[in-house]
Amino acid sequence: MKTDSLSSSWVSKQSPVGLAVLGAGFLFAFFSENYFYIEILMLAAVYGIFAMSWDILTGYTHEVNFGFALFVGGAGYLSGILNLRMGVSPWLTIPVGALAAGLAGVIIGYLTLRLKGPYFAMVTLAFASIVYKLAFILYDYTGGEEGISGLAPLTSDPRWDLLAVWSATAAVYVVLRTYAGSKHGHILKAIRADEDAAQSSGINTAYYKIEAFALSGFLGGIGGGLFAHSQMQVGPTMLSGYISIIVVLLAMIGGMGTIVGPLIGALVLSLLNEYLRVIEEYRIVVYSGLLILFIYLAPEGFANLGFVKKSRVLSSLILGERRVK
Amino acid sequence: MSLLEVKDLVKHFGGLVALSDFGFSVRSGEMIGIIGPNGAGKTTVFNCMTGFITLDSGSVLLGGKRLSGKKPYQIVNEGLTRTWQLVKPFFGMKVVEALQVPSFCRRSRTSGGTGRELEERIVGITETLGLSGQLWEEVDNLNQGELRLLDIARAMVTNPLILLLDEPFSGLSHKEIGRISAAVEELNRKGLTIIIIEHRLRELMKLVERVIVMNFGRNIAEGTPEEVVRDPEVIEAYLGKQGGRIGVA
Repeated sequence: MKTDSLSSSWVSKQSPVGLAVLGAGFLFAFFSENYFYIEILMLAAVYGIFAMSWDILTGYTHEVNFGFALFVGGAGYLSGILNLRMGVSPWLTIPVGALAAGLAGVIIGYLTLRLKGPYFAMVTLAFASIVYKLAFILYDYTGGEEGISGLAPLTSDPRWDLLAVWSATAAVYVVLRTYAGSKHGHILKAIRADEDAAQSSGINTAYYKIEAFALSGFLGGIGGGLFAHSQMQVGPTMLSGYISIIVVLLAMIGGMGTIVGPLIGALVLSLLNEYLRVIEEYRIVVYSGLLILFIYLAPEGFANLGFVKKSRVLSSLILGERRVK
Repeated sequence: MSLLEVKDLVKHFGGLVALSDFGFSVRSGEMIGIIGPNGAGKTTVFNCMTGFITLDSGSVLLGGKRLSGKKPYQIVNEGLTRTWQLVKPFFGMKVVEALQVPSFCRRSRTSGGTGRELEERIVGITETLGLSGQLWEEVDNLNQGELRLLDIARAMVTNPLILLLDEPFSGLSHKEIGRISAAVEELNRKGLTIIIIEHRLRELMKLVERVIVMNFGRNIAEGTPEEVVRDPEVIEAYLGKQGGRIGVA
């Protein structure tokens, strides 16, 4: 009797497409000297971190976090304030901001344990709205509507900035794919299927949900810190509903619950958004129209299309899932 | 000595008395049934025993250890596990993946082996339950009978001392009921203590040694299947004051 899928290796669970995309980004960072493309790719990579971090909670439990901006903006502000007021290096302030976002994840995760569906979504949105308002109230620290600028860059060279951001994206990808492929990801999928059944299987579901919330917050916070320092500024937009909604869209269109889908979705759509600037005022119309079209074509995201999941070749190439029979 | 003692359970839902001083005990290796008309409180008993509903008062003791007040996953880790009236499978997984979930619980890891030993135990459980042919099947493709067996297999992977089966025959054909009955008998023959809630009395009575009858949250009768079907209070609970004969023969 075969039981090998119970103990399949880390390598066998990797997505060749995901690894190829990350490799291509590194090659670009090493060899490109076009600063416009470097800036665009850096932005796309940061959105990739956001979408993947959001996916580990929502994609794997189906509890929609509509307040992800709290992690991004909260960590970005904290990192920026520590850097600007205390002169601490971004390499230290970014992890500190991320840890604070992870802690916020633990607190919100604990407070929303009993909530499901729209109630969960609305409460996460409410938490983000509170922090968004605080960014205006605590003007002395946050700079109010204008935010704070003049943050230290990650490095003195945008190419090295891109390498740093891309390395973080690759690290977040590897961490999340490893986590999702471990017993932790498996349990989150079980909670998504039926939380009562998971509990009656002896699983402490509350622990795993809070853990996923914390991980999502921490890694989203890493993205928020990188975003703030790569842009050398942080403002209320980073805490706004815009960030929360766009992250949901990027992950949904890429394919929730796969990590690789949200990564590629975020990269492609962020690049598309920037390239559409050539059509000026029509950009937002065309971009929004394309998002609607993508959702219509692939309601569960491109990585979750039926023919991708059913095909041995495509599922192993894109999702890194072996179709054992 | 009793393996499980359920004492004086009381549960109210607003003004409704769901359980009123309900209790029973079970010896190790026994297989008993809990029956009663719709709304008698049978599933509420299981929900209270397994921590899914908080008791107003009363206690559940497993091997002398108090379970009441613990969370559902802690109760499973003490050795009391359950299946569900409406099956709750892990859709979107393969059967083998669904059975991996309970293998992560503390009890399964500490008392049921790890690694290859655990994998072999999972395969053994599916063989006992006649599910080994579906091990690599998607859960979504299983029929109702197979889903019931999978639910039992999921519970068995936690390595329980006592298995609670909530209407395991519900919605099944005679052939499927026969398959489940054979599997349950085999588990009991191997020494597992089993408590079954069931409406299909004919099939239940063939399996169990002792039956507890509930009505309005109370224990109204207890005894062998032959004894309880002749009990006037049981007949009244099922058929009304006009009486008649409960179809279990």
